[in-house]
Amino acid sequence: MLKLLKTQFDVVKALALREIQSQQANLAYGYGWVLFDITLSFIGLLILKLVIRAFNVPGLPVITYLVTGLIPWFLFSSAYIAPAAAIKRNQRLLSLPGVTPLDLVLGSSLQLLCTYGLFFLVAATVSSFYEKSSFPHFPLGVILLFLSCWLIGVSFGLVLMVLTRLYAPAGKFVGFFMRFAMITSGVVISIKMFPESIWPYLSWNPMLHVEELIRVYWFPGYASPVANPAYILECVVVLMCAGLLLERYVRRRLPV
Amino acid sequence: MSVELRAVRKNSLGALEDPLFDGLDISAASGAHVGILGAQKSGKSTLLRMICGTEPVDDGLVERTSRVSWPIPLNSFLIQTSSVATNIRFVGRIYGISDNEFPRRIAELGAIADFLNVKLQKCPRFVTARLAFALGVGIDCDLYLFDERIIPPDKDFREHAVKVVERLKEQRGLIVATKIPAEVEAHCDSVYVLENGRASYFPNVATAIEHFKELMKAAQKRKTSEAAGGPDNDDEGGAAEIGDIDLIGAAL
Repeated sequence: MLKLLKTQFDVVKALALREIQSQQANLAYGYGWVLFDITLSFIGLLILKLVIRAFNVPGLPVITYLVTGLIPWFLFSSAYIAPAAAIKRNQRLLSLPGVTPLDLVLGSSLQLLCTYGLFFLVAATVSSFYEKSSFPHFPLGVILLFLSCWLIGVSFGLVLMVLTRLYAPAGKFVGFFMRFAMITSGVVISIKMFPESIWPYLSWNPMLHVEELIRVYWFPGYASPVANPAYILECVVVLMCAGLLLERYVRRRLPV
Repeated sequence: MSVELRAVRKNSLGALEDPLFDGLDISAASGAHVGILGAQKSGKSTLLRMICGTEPVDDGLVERTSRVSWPIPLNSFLIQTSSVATNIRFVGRIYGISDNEFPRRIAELGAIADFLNVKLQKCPRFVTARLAFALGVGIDCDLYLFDERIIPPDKDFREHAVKVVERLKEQRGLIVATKIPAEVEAHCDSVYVLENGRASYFPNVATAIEHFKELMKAAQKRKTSEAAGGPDNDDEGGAAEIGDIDLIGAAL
C-alpha cells in the first residue's frame, strides 16, 4: 500500500512540476494570463463597488474585501475546469504505465493551487498595506478555506467531467449556472445585502460559506449569519467521494 | 511468474466486429525471453499495452508481479518543445528517479549525449528514436516489452544497441510482439503465435516460426482467391484486400 502511494506521489509530483515548468517557460500565456484575468476582473468589480457604493460592507476595506473574495473564487472556477482540460491536454502521457487520468488531474490542479496561492498571498499583502487594514486574525482558518476552494473545485470538476462525457451539453448549463453562482457566493456582495427570506436557499452553496468564513477569519469585526465550517467539510467529503468514485467508474467504461 | 493473462477478452473498436481477443492466455516467467508472432492488425500492440496496464481488458485477468516497461520504442509522451534532458528528467521523476546523473546515463545509453540540452524539435530525427529506445531500456524494470523490433533500424546505432540488449537479456526478461520471424529467432526462447483472437504456445522457436509461416501462406492464398474470384467484390474492396496481401507478404 505504501509503495503504491509512493509511486502515485512520484507521478503526481512529476506532472505538477512539468505543468509549473511549462507555465514558467511560456510567461505570456502562463502567469501573465492568470495575472491579466484576475486584474481585469478585479478592476471591473472595484469600479462597480466604488460607483455603486451600496454594495460596500460598512467598516470593511473595499480592496482587501474584493481580494479575499475574488482570488479564492478564481481558484475554484479554474479548478473545476482543470480535470477535463488536463486529461485532454496530456492524454499521450497515459501511454506510460503508472500514469492514470487521476494523476493528470492532480498534477494540473496542484499547479493551479500554487499559482493562485502565490497571487493570493501577494495581492492580500499589498492590499492590506495599502488600505492599512489588519492581516487575518485567524490565518490557519484562511489557509484551510483556501484549500477547501481548491478541493471543492477539483471534486466538482471530476463530477462535471463524468457528466459531460455522459451528456456533452452539461458543461454549457454549468457555465450559465456559474455566472449566477458568482453573484450569490459572496464574492462581491455580502449575504447580508440579500433579503433574509432567501438566505436558506443561498446557503446551500458551499462557496458562499467559504467566502463568508474567509471574511470572518480575516476581518475582526465581521460576522456572518450563515457561514458554517461543518457544512464546508461535509460538502468537501461528499463531493470528493462522488468525484473519485465516478472517475474510477467511467475510466474503464467511457475511455477518453 | 512475472506476467500472466488469463481468459482475456478484448472487444474490437467496431461494435459489430468479432472481438480482438477472446479466451487469450499468455504468461511470461521472470527472466524469460518470449516472442509473440502475429500478422498485421492481429492486436500485437494492443496486447503489449494490456500487458503493461495502459489498455484495460474487457474480461479476464491480467496479473503482474513485477515491474513492466511500456512498449519500446514508444515515444508519444516525449515533448518536442522541451530539451532531451528535460524529457529524460520528466520520465525519471515519474518512476521515482531523482538522480542528477540520470539524464547523462540515458543520453550515453542512446548515444545522444551531444544533444542533451537541445530541444527535441531541433534535433535530427534519429535522436527521438534513440531517446525512446534508451528511455525504455534505461528505466529499471523486470520485464521489457518491445513492439515490432528490439534493435532500432538505425545503422550507426545498431552495434551499440545490440550490446545494450545483450546485457539486458542476461539480467532481465523481455517480450517482443512482432510479425518478423527473424526478431523472435534472434532473441526469444519460447513463442506465442496469435491466431483467431487466441495465442498458441510453442516452447520451440523454430516450430513456432514454421507454424506462423504456414498461417501466413494460408491467409495469403485465401485473400488471393477472394480478390480474384469474388463476384461481390467492388473495385474499392478489392484494392483494400490486395493491400492486405502485400502486408502479409512483408511478414513472410
